[in-house]
Amino acid sequence: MLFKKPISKADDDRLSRLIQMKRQEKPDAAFWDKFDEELRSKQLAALVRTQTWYERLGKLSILLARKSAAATAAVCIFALGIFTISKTELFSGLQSDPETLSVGISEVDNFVSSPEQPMFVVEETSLPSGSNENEFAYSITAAPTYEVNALTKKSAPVSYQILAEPKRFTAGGSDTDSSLGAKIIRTGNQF
Amino acid sequence: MGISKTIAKPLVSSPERRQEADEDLAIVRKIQEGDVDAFDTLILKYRERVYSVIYNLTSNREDASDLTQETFIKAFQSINRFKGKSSFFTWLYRIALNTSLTHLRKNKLRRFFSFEKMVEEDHTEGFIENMTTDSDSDKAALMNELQETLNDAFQKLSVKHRTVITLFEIDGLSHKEIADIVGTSIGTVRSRLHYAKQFLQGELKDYIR
Repeated sequence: MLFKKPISKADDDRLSRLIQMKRQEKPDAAFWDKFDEELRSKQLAALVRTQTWYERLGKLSILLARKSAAATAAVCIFALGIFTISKTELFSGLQSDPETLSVGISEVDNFVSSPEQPMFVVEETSLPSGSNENEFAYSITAAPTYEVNALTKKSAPVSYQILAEPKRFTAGGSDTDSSLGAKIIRTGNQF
Repeated sequence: MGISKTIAKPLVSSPERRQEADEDLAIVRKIQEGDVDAFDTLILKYRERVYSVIYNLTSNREDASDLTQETFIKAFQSINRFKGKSSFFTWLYRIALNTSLTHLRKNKLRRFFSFEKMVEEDHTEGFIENMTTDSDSDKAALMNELQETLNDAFQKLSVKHRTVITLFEIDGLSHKEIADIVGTSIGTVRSRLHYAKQFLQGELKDYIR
């Protein structure tokens, strides 16, 4: 290997003397006169040289970028924060207008092959006191609304309504044609 | 004049270098206070050494002249940013080195000398001794030939190795000063120097024997 070869002192000295002969390559006085003249004119040219439009634009861009870096970063963080908050369940549940933000299940089906069905817990299942069990019963249904995430194209339930629909009983079964109208007994967005 | 007499040892020792640095700093302070003519003093003081370093890196006189001028213009333009953390000399050499390296990178494929010229020539033994005894015309011819061969050999070195050997052998700087200028450790400087010398020994063996 080249690195492992030792250089003898005598060879080293001779090589040094040889290399140092390059010190003799010196320009003459005329060279330095010309050098000084050119350097002077270049110095003056450098002092008075006007910048081209693209040089100015480049410098301005760098300056602006440096000055506004902190402000830009703050704005980006703020915007990211707002975006993140707006995507949270609580925020969308409170702020979203069901008529504009929610879509029906049939519309969701167009986007999502198998939308996740929410589990509903209906607390009030007993008949109100004083009702006539022989004549009326409640049919309780839950109607969820969905919101479709524009980025992921996935649906998520955002609210539900529990409807109580009193129906008239007749012997042998319910009379489906004699609905007395539905009433919303609960609306919520906690699943 | 014998060759041995023309070969100098390292140009200045440390105390002298410190004194020189103090003098330079005083001049720089004057320039920073508005006495721009004082810059001429620094040009006169360092132009030959800066030119020599750049010339030995590029092996081209015209390029070396232009790059030396460019070095001084850059130094002049940024003199207000010089805080005196290093010596002016080190700072100026760094500018010269960066200017030269940028130039060399731009002209990577350019070759200043024909490498074919150096082959098949009969270099007699005792070349240096002949230089001291031959007539002036012979001496000049031999010197030209040697300088051309040296330049060729230098150009075969990588820029890093060329820089170190130029600053050490030709400009006479210490390992520490070279490390400061180049921005490496002293160990790296020594290592590069050793490699460069070994390479040059191989290239210049006909002259060294």
